[in-house]
Amino acid sequence: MAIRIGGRFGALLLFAFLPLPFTPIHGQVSVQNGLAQFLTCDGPTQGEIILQNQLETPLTVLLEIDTLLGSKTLFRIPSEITLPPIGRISVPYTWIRPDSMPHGVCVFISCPPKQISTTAEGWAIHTQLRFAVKLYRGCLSEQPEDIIRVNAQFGSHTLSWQNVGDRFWKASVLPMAHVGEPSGPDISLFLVPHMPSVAMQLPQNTQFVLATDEWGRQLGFRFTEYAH
Amino acid sequence: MPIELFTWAKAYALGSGMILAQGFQYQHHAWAAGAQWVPAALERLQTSQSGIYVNTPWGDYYRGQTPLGKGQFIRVHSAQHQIQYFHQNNQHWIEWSGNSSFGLKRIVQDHQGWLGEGRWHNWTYVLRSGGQGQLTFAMPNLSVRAMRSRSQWQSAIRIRQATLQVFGHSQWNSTRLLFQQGGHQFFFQETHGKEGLNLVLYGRLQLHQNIIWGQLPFGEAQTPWVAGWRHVNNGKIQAEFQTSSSTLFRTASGSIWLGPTWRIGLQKNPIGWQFIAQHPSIRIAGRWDYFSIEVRHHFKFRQQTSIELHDVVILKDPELHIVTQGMHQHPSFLLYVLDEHGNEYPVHLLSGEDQWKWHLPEGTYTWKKPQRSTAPGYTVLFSPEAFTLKRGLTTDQVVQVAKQKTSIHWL
Repeated sequence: MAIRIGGRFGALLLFAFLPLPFTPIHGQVSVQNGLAQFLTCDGPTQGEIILQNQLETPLTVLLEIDTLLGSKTLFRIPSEITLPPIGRISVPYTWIRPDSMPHGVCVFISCPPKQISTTAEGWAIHTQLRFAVKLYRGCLSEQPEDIIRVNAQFGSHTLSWQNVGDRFWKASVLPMAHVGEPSGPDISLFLVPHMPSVAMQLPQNTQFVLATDEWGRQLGFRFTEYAH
Repeated sequence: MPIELFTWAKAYALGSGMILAQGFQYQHHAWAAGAQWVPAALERLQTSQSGIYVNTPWGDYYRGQTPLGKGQFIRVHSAQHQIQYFHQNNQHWIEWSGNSSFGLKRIVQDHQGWLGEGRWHNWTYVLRSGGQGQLTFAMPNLSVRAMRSRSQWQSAIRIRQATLQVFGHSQWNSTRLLFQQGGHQFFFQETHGKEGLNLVLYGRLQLHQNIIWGQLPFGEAQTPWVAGWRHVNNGKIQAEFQTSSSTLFRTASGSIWLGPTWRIGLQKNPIGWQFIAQHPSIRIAGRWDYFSIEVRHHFKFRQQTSIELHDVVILKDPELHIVTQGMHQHPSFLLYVLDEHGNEYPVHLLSGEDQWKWHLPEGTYTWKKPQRSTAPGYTVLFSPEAFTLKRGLTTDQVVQVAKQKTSIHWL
């Protein structure tokens, strides 16, 4: 039986000819306690990023800071650490001279790139992962009577939010097909002041959305309508 | 131990079109399973068949392509014993091997009957049903062997490097006298019978990286003469040439390594010339009537196992605060500092205005002058060029980063 190119055998051949998409990517370093953290302005000024090395060789980890909000010099974190083999380390960070203004940084975590080499055993494919951990510090609305300034815009089964105030805002968003009839589970919302809008995907039959913050304040929207 | 997957695929461009053969093996510890598909049209070129197989710590099963050819093969083994069974074209072969009394090492039963093989002190024996067999007495400088099969018998005696062999059917008809020393070999063989007397002289000499050999016949038999030369240059270059009075023995081949991974070569046999380019992952071969390309790949999948993590405390003291002046946005540069004992420590200069380093121990350091390849296109200057780190203190270090100015070519 002669097997010609094409069909399932051709697909198998492709599997052998194109190994790259199937090559597993081994994480060189991984972040264990989330890719976003928020410290309130009346809380602690120090936090930690927990890093883990699952390899049996030590790793040098680089931490590069990019400012998202406010001044970068108010934030301090070691920029280069050595992770021992099969080790976990807590990298402390500090918000220096804390104030009530909203601050945010993005810490890019990566390992130095290795030399790409071809060995006698075949081709070596080096992959590099870079984690972006967003760290925020600022004030939430402290009083129920504080004014919340947010914009909300319906799209095609999406709702885009933007915080135009000076305080961070946390809320729980409930999509509804009719008033009192949820069309899906609650969605957590965290809005950073002055940041570009964030869009959330809504279930297909959503006609109403109700956002409730920790003070119990509620914002209701009707699909295709704009309100706040 | 990772899970490994080996795959290969081979495409042949023959006169009628393109045909594929392919296979895979999945392996984990001593467990493996694999399959290969070889179209019947390729069996002549590929010299292997379609088949499946399973390897376990206690035995193996092959169907189709087996270690003994096309058929079915089963092997079961323990630390002391092994039983193998092979079945092909309604004929079977079964073998036991291990240790037993009388030095018995192996018993085989097949369509020719029974065979037993063993070793006792300096004696080795092979006994086959039908009165056939072989008996050998071997010591470092002396060995004697007598062998009898269905149609012929053979006796041999070796004293040091010289061996005398006598062959016959119903009666003595051939003698060979062989001398071996290192890589050198020389033999003289006479064959006498109804066709008359024929003599063959054979010699093989190893001279450093070259081997030359030749065979010279005398007599009425149509034995061809042969002369050959092989050159091996530390494995980098290999060349072989053989000529003969018979076209069957006229061959030539040559190969050369290109770098650590590629080897290319030409080969001539009675069918014609063949070209080969080989890499651990790719093999390309071509002849006047076909062309083939083979791709191999080896995947390793790390298992998600629960590992015991070691929590490590990161110490802040001492602290180096690097303030970058000039260009803040630049690629990361791998720089080095030297302590008072000459030990080298890496320091990555990342983009940004401020960065804190906690990985250097207490001591006095000087910056190693960056090489051109460290920060290509940039100038990196340190102020001061030495600094001291002390516990409880933060040491400031200014690093000036500037883009190198290129010369202007005025038109």
